[in-house]
Amino acid sequence: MTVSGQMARRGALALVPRSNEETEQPIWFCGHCGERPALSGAPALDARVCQSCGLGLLLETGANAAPKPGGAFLVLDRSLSVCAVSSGAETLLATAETEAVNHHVTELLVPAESEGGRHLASAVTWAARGEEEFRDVFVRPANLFGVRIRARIARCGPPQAALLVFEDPQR
Amino acid sequence: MNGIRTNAAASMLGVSPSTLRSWERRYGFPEPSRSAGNHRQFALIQIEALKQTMQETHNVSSAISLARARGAGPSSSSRLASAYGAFDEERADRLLEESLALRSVERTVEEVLLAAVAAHLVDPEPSTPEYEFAWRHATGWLSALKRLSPPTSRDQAVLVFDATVPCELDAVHVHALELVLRRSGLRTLVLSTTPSPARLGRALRVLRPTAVVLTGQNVSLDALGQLVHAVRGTAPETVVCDYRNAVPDTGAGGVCRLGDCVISARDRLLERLDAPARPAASSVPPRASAARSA
Repeated sequence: MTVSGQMARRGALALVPRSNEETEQPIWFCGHCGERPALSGAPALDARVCQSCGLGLLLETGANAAPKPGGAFLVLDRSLSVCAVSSGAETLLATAETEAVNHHVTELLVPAESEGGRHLASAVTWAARGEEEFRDVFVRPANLFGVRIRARIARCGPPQAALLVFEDPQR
Repeated sequence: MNGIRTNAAASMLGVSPSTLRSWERRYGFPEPSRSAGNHRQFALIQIEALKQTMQETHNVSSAISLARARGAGPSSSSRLASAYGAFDEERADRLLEESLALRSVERTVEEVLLAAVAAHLVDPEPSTPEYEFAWRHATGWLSALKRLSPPTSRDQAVLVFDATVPCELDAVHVHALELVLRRSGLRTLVLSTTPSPARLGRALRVLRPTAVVLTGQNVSLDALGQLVHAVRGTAPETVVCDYRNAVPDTGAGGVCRLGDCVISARDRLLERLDAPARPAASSVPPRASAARSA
């Protein structure tokens, strides 16, 4: 059989995704209610107020870390300070955003990992530096024992920060 | 006070008037006054401050508390940093002109320009496009101001050995130092640390420096020591100064520490130059001396 014949019999080759960065679509979401507005592009930096709740600013993150509308999540900076608390996280952690903002994350959450688990602080620091990869950690509310919540930490912004999304217990 | 109506304020912030009123109820900010007809009148400065802080934060409550804390509006350096972040050269020029109407050149350089460039320096990243844009704009602007400096009015001259590299934050500080020294009437010459000490003779004879300022960290202490030795060979009374920690501080008294800020560096240098002459100190930085003796 000729080479061209062999090529003709070979199944069609599928394109292999080249990297996470190229395949992962950025998602814009509200930093308070988690709603995802229909946007044609990135919103202007000074016009990011959520039209849905009017209390959050629109932030961008990767598709595999973006919270669902109404989801529980925190936005943290490199110094591990809380920058934003979603309405879902206010309920989950029994706090108010105005009380939690600018406080250290460990006042709200502490790691709840067994041996070998990833460290919360390093995961937040890496994400806040703009690391593309997300990391999964286990945390618990600072004042509550016997509870473990899986959370995903990824980069978000602007300004550059870490997004900590609590896993939906219904999932 | 410049007051604007609810619709205009809401439009500036990109929100609906009802959202703006809900912020007023929830956070008490922006806080409007009332016109004779009982209409809300928002202070323009509060709206502008809030618009700025929304760029720097992740939620409305943080933006509001930051705007409230700033009181009189955003700092000029953060507005300039924001212009750099948007690669907006025209706005950056305008903000610097505005600052010059309020502050001296020296204060504009230190409090606005250098602070705005430093705001874009992200450790451990070596550089970002925003930082490079800021750095180049700042150095271009400082160079333009240097050309407009008044003629020298003092006898003293300062030789600055610049061991920085382009796009380093220290490098823009060296430009700033040169500008404020010139504006204080000193003759100033900035040289890199690359020329051989043996080739400095002509420059030293013409300049006759009363002070040598060492700055930048991209040269060995031995090389700095040789340069200082060459200067002291021509002018033994020359004061050796350090700007922004070019020479490690060992506590020895041979080097006059000028600190990290450009205005205080100028003040300390002038104070030292105007002080009565003292016996010449060690001709090389302390660490270099120690290394040699070892």
